[in-house]
Amino acid sequence: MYNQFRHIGEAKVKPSNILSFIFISFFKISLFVIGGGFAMMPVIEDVFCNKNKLLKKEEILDMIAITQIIPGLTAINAAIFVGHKLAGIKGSVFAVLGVVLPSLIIASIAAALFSFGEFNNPHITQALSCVRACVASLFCVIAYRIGKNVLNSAFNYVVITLFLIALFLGMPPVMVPLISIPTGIIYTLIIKLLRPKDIL
Amino acid sequence: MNYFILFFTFAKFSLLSFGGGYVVIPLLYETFVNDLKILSHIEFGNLISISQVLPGPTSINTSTYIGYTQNGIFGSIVSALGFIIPSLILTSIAVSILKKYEDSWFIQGFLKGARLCAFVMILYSIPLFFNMSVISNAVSIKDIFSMFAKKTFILPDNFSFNILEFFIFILCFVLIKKGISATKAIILSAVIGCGVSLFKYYIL
Repeated sequence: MYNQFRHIGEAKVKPSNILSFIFISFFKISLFVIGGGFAMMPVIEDVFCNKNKLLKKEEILDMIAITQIIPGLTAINAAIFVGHKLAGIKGSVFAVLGVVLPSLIIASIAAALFSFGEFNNPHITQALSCVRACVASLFCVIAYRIGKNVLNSAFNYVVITLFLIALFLGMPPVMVPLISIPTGIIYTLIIKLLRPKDIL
Repeated sequence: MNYFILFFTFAKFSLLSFGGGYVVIPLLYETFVNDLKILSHIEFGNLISISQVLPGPTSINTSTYIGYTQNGIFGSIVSALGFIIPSLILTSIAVSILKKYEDSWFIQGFLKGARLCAFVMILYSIPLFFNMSVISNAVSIKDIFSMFAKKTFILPDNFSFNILEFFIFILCFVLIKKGISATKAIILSAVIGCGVSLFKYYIL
């Protein structure tokens, strides 16, 4: 049922070991790639498209599109996509296991050994306080990068401002995705109805 | 927390995370710090920060920690499953049908909403972490927002503006924007923070 021998040219991967290849590849990617789902994309392309020719370039682009549309963690969705393309449901399960296992093991050990609450050591406390400042700056950079794509129309400015005011006044953040998705769909539908030539 | 609640809480986060793992952070804060009061304000900040440094997706590390502290190793597995299973179902369906509908107005509208959501959620996270580092006081994020709403700017007694953290904030902003990976920046901040603290303790 899974795709056999999907390669053009050389590949060290045969149908019999595709599942273990998927698992080990994603295990290594999850363990060594720093920076989360987005940083994993080029590595996935390198391993599965360039080096082993199991996926075509356009399938990599499809993977990127899917991770933006489907909710859920980028790394998880990317792994599911690749695993599914190569070996169906079994492939996606093995891929996800590969991505998640390093986290499960290491984070569980960390949770067992430490509590992340107050530390008695003033040096560690200061270090962590600085780390939190760094994370704040990281979010600023991410906001800047997303902002470049998003702060480009009056409608977006208005919606974002309204959301921020609502959050200020105490709206629970869970409402943000619940409202923004229908808003985007309705807006696009209205544009389509008013100017049908712009959108398919 | 019982296993079902653990699973469905993380499944809910997975279904709402339009735009990736960072979008989940305000939701995690809302649920575990404000509603369930399982984590303190500072513990949450430390948890997210350390999850960035550990290998693997940040949210999986975070959910593993929360699951473990609640229900041991099975708790961490159930939490991870909460994130994974909705994605498995949705993405497997999407793989087959996405090509057909990729350019449809519905998907384009969906993407537009997802981008707005991601941006707003990241903006919301910034004061959250700013408040537990550059500015330190016991005031929660809601109190800050309601201070703005009610126009009363009386600061609590233990409010302080921390110069070192502000320096780190500016430094890391410049470094990360230039391209330094987040993990390296975090480790650098930890080293600087620890170093300054040791310096103050032993030399001054």
